[in-house]
Amino acid sequence: MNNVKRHYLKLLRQEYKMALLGVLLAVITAYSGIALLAVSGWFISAAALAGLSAVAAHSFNFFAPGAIVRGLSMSRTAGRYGERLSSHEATFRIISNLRADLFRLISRLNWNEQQLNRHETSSRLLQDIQNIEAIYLSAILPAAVSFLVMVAYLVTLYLVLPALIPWVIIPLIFATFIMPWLYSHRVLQSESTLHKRHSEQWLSASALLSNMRTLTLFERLKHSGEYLQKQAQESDNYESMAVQRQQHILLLTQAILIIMTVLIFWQGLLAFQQGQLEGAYAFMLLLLTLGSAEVLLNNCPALANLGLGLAALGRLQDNLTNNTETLDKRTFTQTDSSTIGLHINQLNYRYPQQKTDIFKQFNLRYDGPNWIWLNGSSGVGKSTLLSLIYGQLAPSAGSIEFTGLNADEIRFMPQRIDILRATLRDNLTLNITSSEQAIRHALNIVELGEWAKRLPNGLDTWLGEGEWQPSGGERKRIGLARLILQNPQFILLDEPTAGMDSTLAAQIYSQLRAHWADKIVLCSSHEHDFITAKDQRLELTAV
Amino acid sequence: MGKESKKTQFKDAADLLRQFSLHGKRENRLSILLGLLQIAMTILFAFVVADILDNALFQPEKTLPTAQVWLILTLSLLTKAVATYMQNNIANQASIKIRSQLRQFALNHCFTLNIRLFPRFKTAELSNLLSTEINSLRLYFADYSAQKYLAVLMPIAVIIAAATVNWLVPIILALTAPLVPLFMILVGKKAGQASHDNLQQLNRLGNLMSDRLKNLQALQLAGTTEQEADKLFQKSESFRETTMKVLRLAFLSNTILEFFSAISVALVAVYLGLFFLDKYQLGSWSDDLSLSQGVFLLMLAPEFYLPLRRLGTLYHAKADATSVAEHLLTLNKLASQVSSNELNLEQQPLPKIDSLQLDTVQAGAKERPLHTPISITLEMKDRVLLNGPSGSGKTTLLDTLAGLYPLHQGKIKLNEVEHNIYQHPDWQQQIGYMTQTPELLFASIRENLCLGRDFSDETLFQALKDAQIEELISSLPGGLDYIISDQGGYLSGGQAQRIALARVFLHKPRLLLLDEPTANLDEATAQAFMLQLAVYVEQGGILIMTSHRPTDQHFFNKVITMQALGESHE
Repeated sequence: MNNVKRHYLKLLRQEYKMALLGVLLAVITAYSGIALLAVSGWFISAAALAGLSAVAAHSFNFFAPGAIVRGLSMSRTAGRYGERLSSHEATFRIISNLRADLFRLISRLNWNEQQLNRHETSSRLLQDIQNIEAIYLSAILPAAVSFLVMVAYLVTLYLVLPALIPWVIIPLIFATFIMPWLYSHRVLQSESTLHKRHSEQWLSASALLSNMRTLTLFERLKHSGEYLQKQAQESDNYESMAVQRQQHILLLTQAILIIMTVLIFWQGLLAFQQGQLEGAYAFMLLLLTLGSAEVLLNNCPALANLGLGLAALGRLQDNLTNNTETLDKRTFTQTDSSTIGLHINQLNYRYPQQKTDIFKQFNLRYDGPNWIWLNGSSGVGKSTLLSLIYGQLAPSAGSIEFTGLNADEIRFMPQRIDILRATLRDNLTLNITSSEQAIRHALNIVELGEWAKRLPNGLDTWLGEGEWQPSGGERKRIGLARLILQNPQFILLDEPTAGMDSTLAAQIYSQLRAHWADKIVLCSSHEHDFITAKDQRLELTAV
Repeated sequence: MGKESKKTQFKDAADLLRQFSLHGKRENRLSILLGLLQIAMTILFAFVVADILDNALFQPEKTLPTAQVWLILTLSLLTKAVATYMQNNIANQASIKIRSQLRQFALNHCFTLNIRLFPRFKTAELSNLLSTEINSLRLYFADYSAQKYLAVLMPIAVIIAAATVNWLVPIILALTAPLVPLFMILVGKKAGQASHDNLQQLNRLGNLMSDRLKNLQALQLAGTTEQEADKLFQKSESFRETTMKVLRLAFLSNTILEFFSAISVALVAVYLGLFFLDKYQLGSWSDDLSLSQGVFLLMLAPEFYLPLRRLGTLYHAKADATSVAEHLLTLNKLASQVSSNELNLEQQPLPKIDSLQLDTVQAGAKERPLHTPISITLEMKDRVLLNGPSGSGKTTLLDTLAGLYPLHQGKIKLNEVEHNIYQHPDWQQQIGYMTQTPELLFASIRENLCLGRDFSDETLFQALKDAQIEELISSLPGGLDYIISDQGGYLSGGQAQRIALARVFLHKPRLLLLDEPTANLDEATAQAFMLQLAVYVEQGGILIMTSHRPTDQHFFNKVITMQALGESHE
């Protein structure tokens, strides 16, 4: 599943029956709508011409056209209903698979703490997914319909009077291909700028809201509000200009189709005068052209939507190829003895954009179960070292080697604990099958047992955005409980008790120590109060 | 503009949208006029076509139209296209105006509520409202509000035009028309509710996806993203099944419109055909009907339902707009509850702080005080420790002393005189407040320090030095112009906090409020930092701070001990 575009096509192929049914019914609906008017036009003018002589009026078979007209209005109605249902069914089927698959793809991205803004990134990804979801319903379907309507129009012209075809061929090429291409080009041109502006706007709003205290105290709130307004208005104006530029193309397309309509009408009347065409067909041709032109106009937005969808697919593809290249250069060796260990040799690391190395020729060696404290002043690289050991960052030089372990047995608790919008139970297990007892046990270790019982629905209380919000300390403890349930052999903890009072922290540490007695635990902290004689200490100092 | 924000009572979401669409009244009228121009051109076009056909086929001379007639024919269609184009542009202008008003409305409410927005609202949720959601109303205000009127006016124009030549055709059209709302109500009421629920469910599914993307790291760290993807798939699938049930009903109302639209054309065609074949002579003002009249009527028939069908396609825009309006209403409700309590804000000038008395002060919301009353007198050079177990309201008390919340109860006296400090600009100029999580703007370090005021680089570096962070800033690429990303970027938690502290020092407040300033610092830095605080207090200031660090405790000369009241869940 490395090529996103190919994958989308595969999904479309899987649902081809429903998707084709949707197109078929949409085409039937469009044809019926156009034909309904055209046949009606033919019928009334033929009837009127027949009505001129009493004999002709008497012998005129009005049942057939009457039945056709009624039939067409029925097929138009039924077609519309069927088309809506089958196209939505197809869309939803594609969406279900697409969401899950894109989620799988995105979850391979390396989202570490350095990521600029997760809200912003995720909302951009969501926008892209929506664009991709719309490919069938608002791009492929209408484009297919307008293409087939154009074909049907040409076939009808051929049947009625082939000499008319040269008159329409150029306007049709413009209306079906060139203008939609131009339109979609313009939409795509403004789309990337608009995209950027909208995310800037989001960031300003988010900055204003998350800095409310500071901005209020320094009397900068009104100013920030004005800035946000200005930014939004500029982006609105840009958007409206972009829309206007798109409208120019639509107007031009309409003008081309209008000229084509008038030409056909004129040629039809000429042909009638020259005896090549029955009179009633002249009106029919006009109505046919008007109806087809209306459908053809949809091709512009359809192609633009296709462009947006493809651009979104492309962006995802780029994201994947840029961010999934493996940062993990750690090695895992299995030994005969059952001891587990970590060996770091001559490690160098420097953050991109920074001038100096944060680690230089750094060595570390631990074998066998151990509780290791990682101390050091703030900014010295405690978190960076943990990220390097966990494989989220790749060292510039040197090696990180594990013995008796594989990557799945190493687990990491970052400083910031994400809480999913889900029940406490799901937040703890994170899809790992765990018994009720195991969950209770884990909660007791981190001193959340009583807390969980007091929650309105116990383990089934919903947490996360808009639901019950755990406090900073509770979050940390949820993070620890998760790790306990995951049962790793090698545990990396980044400031697991920051913000908790020391009695609670001491209690949790002693319980964790007992629980993880046969594991290696590497725990960063700026406090020295919890260190026991059995523990090892690693004091990091600046390079 | 300012007056508008005063009357902020809305019956429901639709009412809010309606009231705000009044801001684009002028554009809306123009847009309606242009819509009417379109229908006039349609009628003209039908008339000219009818005339051409009549002359070319029906009249004995069988004349082809002159160049002038062709020109009128072309121009009528072109004018209609240009009118559509102009209508779109004008509607866009209106939409910009209205959205700007909506944004201001939402912003004003955010300002009124200030930090009381949280935790009722989430930052991300409100950021979405202020940017994405209000932006998404473009189509609604651009197309829907004018189309609503045109869906009534355009069919009336068609009926009037048709009535000039025939009375039966308008009756056919007018008779099918009332059936549309009738059927739509029959089907639509149930379908409307169902599709509203459905849309909410769809939103919930979208929210789920966005929540899982935002918190992806938790799942990545647990190594269970595959399982989560399977869950997402199952949820989408079960959603598809329920949705299709709803859609089967919801699309019926669309279909009914399609049906009447088709059947009215069919009826008119059959009626006209049979009339021409002399089966009857009903409906015409005269005994006869010319081909031109027939053509004219047939061409008008499909135009009758067109505006209604166009309105139908904007249904999604309306549903989306309603859900945004509902969010705005929640904000409005909260704001009006709060502002009704605080209408008479005393804003007399405040004196410079020399001493500060808290007299039985309780912080907390109006209904729920958080702690037992506090009384204490603070003089210049006082160093006060705010002590108490977690959940006893320390942060809320600091917020209240910073003037961000109104007092629950008690008096705050400045130099022995009672004053209302809540949201008072004079107060905010005198105090400095650093919260537990440092609030840094997505901007350069310089902008973060200055916050719009002017300081020389020397002053800035002195403040950074006082906050023990000068060295790091000098080593950053760009120095003071290094851009901080909103999560702190490459700065560690302690470093971000010290930048926030430098900012507090820079603005030289008389009262300094600090919430756990040393929690993220190592021992040595914390020591140096406390020394700096001592210097600051000696220069003339009052310090109130919270700290869990035992080594800090002997630094203070006064202690406020807080006791939680009753049950609180923290």
